[in-house]
Amino acid sequence: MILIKSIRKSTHPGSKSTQKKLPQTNANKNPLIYADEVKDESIDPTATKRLTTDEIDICKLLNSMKDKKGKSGATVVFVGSVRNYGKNGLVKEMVYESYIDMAEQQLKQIEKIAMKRWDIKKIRIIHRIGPMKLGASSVVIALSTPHSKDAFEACQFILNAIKKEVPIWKKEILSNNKVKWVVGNAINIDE
Amino acid sequence: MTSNIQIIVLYFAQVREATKVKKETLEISKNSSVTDLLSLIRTRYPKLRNVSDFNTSVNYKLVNSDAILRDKDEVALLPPVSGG
Repeated sequence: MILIKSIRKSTHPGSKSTQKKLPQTNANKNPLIYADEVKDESIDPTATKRLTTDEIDICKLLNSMKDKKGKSGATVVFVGSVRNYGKNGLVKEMVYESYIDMAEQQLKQIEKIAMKRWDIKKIRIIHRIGPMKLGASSVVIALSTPHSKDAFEACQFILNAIKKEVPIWKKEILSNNKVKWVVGNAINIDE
Repeated sequence: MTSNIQIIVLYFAQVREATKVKKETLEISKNSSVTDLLSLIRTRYPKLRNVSDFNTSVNYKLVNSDAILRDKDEVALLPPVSGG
């Protein structure tokens, strides 16, 4: 016998549970912290600002990959942008939505896995959410390694993981004003 | 009468559009499973039947439908993802 009673219902987009078992993020207050702004200028394992509604400053992110000690011989930056067409037709705008707390955790986990598999010296992943115009940068992956092969492989691995393991959804605003969710992948987390 | 627990339920993307709710707290019998919760949610929101598939997380971890829920668990209904 199951009893269900609606106790509280909220439609406020920023409403959050008060029963978090994991640290709260400040994603909404200060959505973006770059690697060069944290004390440890190599990797920031405690960063919880991997999602933002702000425009991503790619140049700043790229500069944060610089390594004065010369440990990294390769830096790869992948920039995913809003494309003007998809399987549903011509696109004029994209809207991204996320389960922010879980997505932050998943992105952090993906970074950790990548760092175990490849000799990554610096890494930052930032995914933007909210409405975006054509050409806007929706996701940026920046990382540096001693050798280029590792950098390319790690970057591709991370992008693939983002597409299937992180709770982010996007819907297309088509040129005919119809709105269609992009058909995605059943979320499958590689533990 | 003291055997109920409270579950925070979050709905996203197509699921949210079907339920027209982003977040709510539901009360359910102690020792209920995810399947039990989903059954009740589907009853509350018949349009959810139009959503082809979704996975379920509890406190940010994907779970099987037979997982037992605890008081104050945060359950999310996650349609196929499309980040990037």
